[in-house]
Parts: sequence; C-alpha cells; structure tokens
Amino acid sequence: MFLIQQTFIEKYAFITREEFLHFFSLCAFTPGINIVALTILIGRKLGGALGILVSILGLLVPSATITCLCVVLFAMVQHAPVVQAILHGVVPATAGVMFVVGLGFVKPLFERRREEGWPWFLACLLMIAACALAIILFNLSVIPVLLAAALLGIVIFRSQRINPEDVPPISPVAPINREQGGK
Amino acid sequence: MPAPLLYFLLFFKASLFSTGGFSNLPSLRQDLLARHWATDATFAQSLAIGQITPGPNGLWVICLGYLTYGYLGAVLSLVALTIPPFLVLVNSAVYARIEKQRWVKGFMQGISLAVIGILFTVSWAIISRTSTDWRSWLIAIGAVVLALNKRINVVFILALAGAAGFLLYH
Repeated sequence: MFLIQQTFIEKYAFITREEFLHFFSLCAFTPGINIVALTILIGRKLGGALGILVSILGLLVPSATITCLCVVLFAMVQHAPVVQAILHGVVPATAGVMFVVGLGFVKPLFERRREEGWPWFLACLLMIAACALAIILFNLSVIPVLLAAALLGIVIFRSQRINPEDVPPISPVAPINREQGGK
Repeated sequence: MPAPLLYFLLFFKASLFSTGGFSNLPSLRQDLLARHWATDATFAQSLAIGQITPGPNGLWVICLGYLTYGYLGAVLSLVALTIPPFLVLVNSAVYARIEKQRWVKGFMQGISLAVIGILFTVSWAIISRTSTDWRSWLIAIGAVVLALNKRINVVFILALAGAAGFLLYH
C-alpha cells in the first residue's frame, strides 16, 4: 500500500494525490481486498482494460505463487512433531494479532469522537459489541448480522449530521489500516 | 469431498460480502466448519502463513483453499477473491450520484461497525477452540502486547511465537 502510493504518486506522477485519495475511498466501499480494487482503478486510468489486466496480474501472480509455495511446503511438514509444537505457539499468536487488527479499526472511531461526540462513540461501540456477541453467543450467520447492522446504521447514524456536504467521502472505518499498510 | 462449484460459490459469497482482506473470514469459517471441510486449526494455520508471505494479506484465503482442497482449492479461492473487487468500477460510476444521499452514510457506518465486531469474533474463535491451556493464553497475550507496537513486524511476532511453542510444547 505504502509502496504503491510512493511509486505511482511521488516517483512517476502517474496519478495525483487527490485522485489517489478518491480512488481509495471508492475502494473502501468495494467488496473484497481493497488493494485489488485500487489496482484496478489505477490500471484503468493508465491503460484502460489492458491496464487493468496487466496491473492485476502484476499484483497477484507473484504474491499468489509465493503464498502457494509456502503453503505447499507447510503441508509437507505439518505432521512432524517439531512443526506441531511450533504451530501450538503460532496459532494463539495469530489470534492475538487478529485482535490487534480489530483494535486498529476502532482507533479511528476514537479519533472521530472529538467531532462527533460521546453518544456517537458509545453507539459505535455498542454496535460492535452487539454484532460480536450475536455471533459468539447465538451463532448467527454473518450475512444477516451485516444486513441488520446496515439497517440499524441508517436509523442511528442518519440524523447525526445536519449538513451532508460536511461528510467526508472516505468510509468511516480506518482508511489506512494495518492490513493495507503492512506489506 | 467438496463439490467444486459449491466450494467456489462459498468463497465467492464470503468475499462479496466483505471489505478488506479479513472480513470474509467469519463467513468462510461458518460455512466450511459446518460442512467439516476445515477446522479452526486450518483457519489459524492459513492466517499465519498468509501473514508471513508477501502480497496482500487477503491472500491467506489461498492457503485455506490449498489446505482444504489442494491446488484446485487454491485456484478457485484466488478467482473467487479477485472478482468482487471489480465492482469498484460500478462503484465509481454510481458513487457520484448517491454520495449526497443521507442514508448512504448510515448504511456504510453500520456495515463498518459490524465488520469490526465480526473481526473480534474471529480472534475469539481461534483462541477459544484451539487454545486450552495457560501457555497458549500467555502467547496470545504476548502477541497482542507486541502487535500493539506498530514498529514490530508481524513476521517477527509469529516467529517468536513459533519459538515459544517449540520451547513450551516440544
């Protein structure tokens, strides 16, 4: 993410910073991996349909190949006792890292609390907790939880702002989070 | 043994109803676990490998594909991952027309919050089903503390956890 930004804006000036931000806010609304969507938009801007194809292949082929090789290697050795012991350590650490990924999404909410106020912030935390508990305690499936949250969001958050022109085009959740900034 | 089309559709659905690389996880987990095609351990392993390999972190799903369905699974999952982001082209066409609508903001806010909540449930699912003793809780808490410091690389944290696992369990 950081590298894309550096290369395309600063080094080659293929797109402007404003365009990049606009692209990024569109990606935040898009399903799936945000970087893939961002690559599609930059590819289209630079080379049309062919640009999309080339940039997507450039993004995914090397990384997918390496990922695949790693997992194939892993599958070969996973039953060795040493590997099992190491996994016993890595698995709970993965849970810990995922927890921090979640916290990384909460942080921008905390920062927006200053302009939106405490009731807004508490409403956000309640929504997060309610969704988590609905899945953990009641074993609800993800899609209905997402839909219910979207409808609740319309009811709760619609009346927050008087002037809709103030609303930044960027999605409320962290525009740049750990996942996208990491590699 | 999974049927290829159903397998693909489950991955596609998960990716279509997610944003970012991880929020497809809960949906995949529910679907694959229910059909006994994967265990919580499979998910944890896929996430770990996905974290340490280069490229978008969302590619952890390829690991899941390979571990549950071999090379075919890896290919199907990669295709399922790649299609939904193309909706960004639709988005960029539609966005200009609806951005001023008041309900759009609330709708997106609701989804974003649900996604955060869902992410926490993933963390909970991994730790509660695969870690039953104090040693794994210790490692998990250690990982949280280290990961809170943004300067420490995830690969380093996982390597350290692997070393801890080797010392504690071997």
